[in-house]
Amino acid sequence: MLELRGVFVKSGKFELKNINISIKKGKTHAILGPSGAGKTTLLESIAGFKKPFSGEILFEGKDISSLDVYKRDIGYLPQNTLLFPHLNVYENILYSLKVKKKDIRKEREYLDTLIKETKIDNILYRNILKLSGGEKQRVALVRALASKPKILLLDEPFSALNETLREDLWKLLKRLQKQFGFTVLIITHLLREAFALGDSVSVIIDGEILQNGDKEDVWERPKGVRVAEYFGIKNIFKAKIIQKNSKIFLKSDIFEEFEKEDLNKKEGEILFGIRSEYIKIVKENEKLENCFILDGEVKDIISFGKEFLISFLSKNLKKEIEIRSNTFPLNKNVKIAIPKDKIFIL
Amino acid sequence: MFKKATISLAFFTLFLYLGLILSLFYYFDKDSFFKILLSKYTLSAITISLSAATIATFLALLIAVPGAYALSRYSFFGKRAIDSILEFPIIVSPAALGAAILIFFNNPLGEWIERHFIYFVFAFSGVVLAQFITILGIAVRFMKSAFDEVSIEYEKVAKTLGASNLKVFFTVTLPMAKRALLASGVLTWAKAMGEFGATITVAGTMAMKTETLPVAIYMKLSVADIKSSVVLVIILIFIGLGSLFGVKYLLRDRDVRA
Repeated sequence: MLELRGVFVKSGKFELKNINISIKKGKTHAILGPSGAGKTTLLESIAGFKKPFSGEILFEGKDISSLDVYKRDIGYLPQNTLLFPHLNVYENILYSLKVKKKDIRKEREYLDTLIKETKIDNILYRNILKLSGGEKQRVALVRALASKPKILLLDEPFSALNETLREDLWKLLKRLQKQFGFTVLIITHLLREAFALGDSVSVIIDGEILQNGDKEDVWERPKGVRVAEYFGIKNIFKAKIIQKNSKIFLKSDIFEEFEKEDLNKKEGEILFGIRSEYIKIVKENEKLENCFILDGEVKDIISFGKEFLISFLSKNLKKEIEIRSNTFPLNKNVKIAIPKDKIFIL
Repeated sequence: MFKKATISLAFFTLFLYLGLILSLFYYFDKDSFFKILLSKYTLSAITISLSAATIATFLALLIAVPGAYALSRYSFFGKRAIDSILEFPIIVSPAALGAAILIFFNNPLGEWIERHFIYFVFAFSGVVLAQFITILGIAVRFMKSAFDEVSIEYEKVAKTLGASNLKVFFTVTLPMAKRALLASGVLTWAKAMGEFGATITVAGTMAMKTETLPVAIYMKLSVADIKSSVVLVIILIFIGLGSLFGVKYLLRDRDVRA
């Protein structure tokens, strides 16, 4: 559907380097990264506001890198909605149909469904200046979808909204996508948003895509320290690679020898990580399989209501392990369990 | 203390202009006011002023609106030079500007233009030309400010919705800048109405032909006809203040954006 092949874009001193992304029809791809990473530059290149100096942007197999913005069949939803203040809600919605000289009567049924689904039927003739933040986003979404674009580009559209409104809009977007089958590309700095909406996720930092893949894969196995740190993973440790009888083992302060099959390196040292939410505090007499069990003491606990962020220090370790748990440790001295299959190599 | 001092100086500005306006009424005579106002001479000066200023403003806007849009939106070679020259009619004395126009029409190119197209020197067209040259730079500056206030992001969104550059201009930029553009137009027109130096240098002081309101005031003062001068000044102030209130009305709540 949309494919970026070796795209390089220059924007002042900033550069997007060798961007390769492929988005399947009807799916959502999230581009996740901190501010200044190049997300907006990338989106602007796809929309046509910035021209890549090399590489191809293929839309349904055709290179659109030098096509004018208005000729690309895209819908665009910016963060601050940018609804035209001189037009009312309905006029904003009809804008694309009018400039494209489409027969509005033929699109009536589709528009009515969109308006009904987004629950803006009661504000259709309202002045844009009198809309709430959530209403503006819903109207902007309908305006972007009114002329049935094949792909919808979302530029951090919900990040200024509160959590509840944001989640409502995620659900709405998913529902509309299921109903009408359009493809979505969203850029965001919010981890939750990227993984809630994206079927696939790319992580961009300093103008480079550091990881690209299905969201489960990206979530479970972040590639490299920068991605892991961006995901907020604190449990990053060193391990030694040991080769025995043509098998590869890892050895670290956390575990003795542990066979790891899917390792590219044959010797030296590597970094590995473990997500804090996968580490469990072992209850008395509880037996857990395929886990490394560590003895140690609880150093700090931060409560987030139902969830606790626990800092744990084992006798053999110099660095604390971070644990996210729903259970509050009753003793200072506890045992923790690290599932072997949740350890990922960076 | 500081607050009081600054407020006092702000009020000084108001009282200075208000005092000057009120002092006119020392020579105000109700009976002669209407007689002078409705005289052929005054009506002719009003008509010449209104028509010349309106034509000059219209012509200036034809160039200023697209030119200002280019200055506001695009980067191009020579942009800084154009931007710098816009204040030229303000920094150069109107009399000098008028003299430059007059000298131009004594050059071979100017003479050729007058021979083949239109005669400007000591003619109504000269009034229009003098006003046009005086206001063009200001008109571009005003219009540019009006376009600068419309975020380019709206234009970007319009393009993604399928609008070409021309459609974006007419369906988004122009309607969104409408009030500021109108206000700029009114101010430009008011500036043309008050133009004196260039007009008198190029078009002279031919009564009922090239005499605008400011020129008429000067002519009446030169023969010590104070009563007529007062009437003409009041008319000019009335038009000026009317324009100013018009602009204030057009620009009310202009900061409100979606």
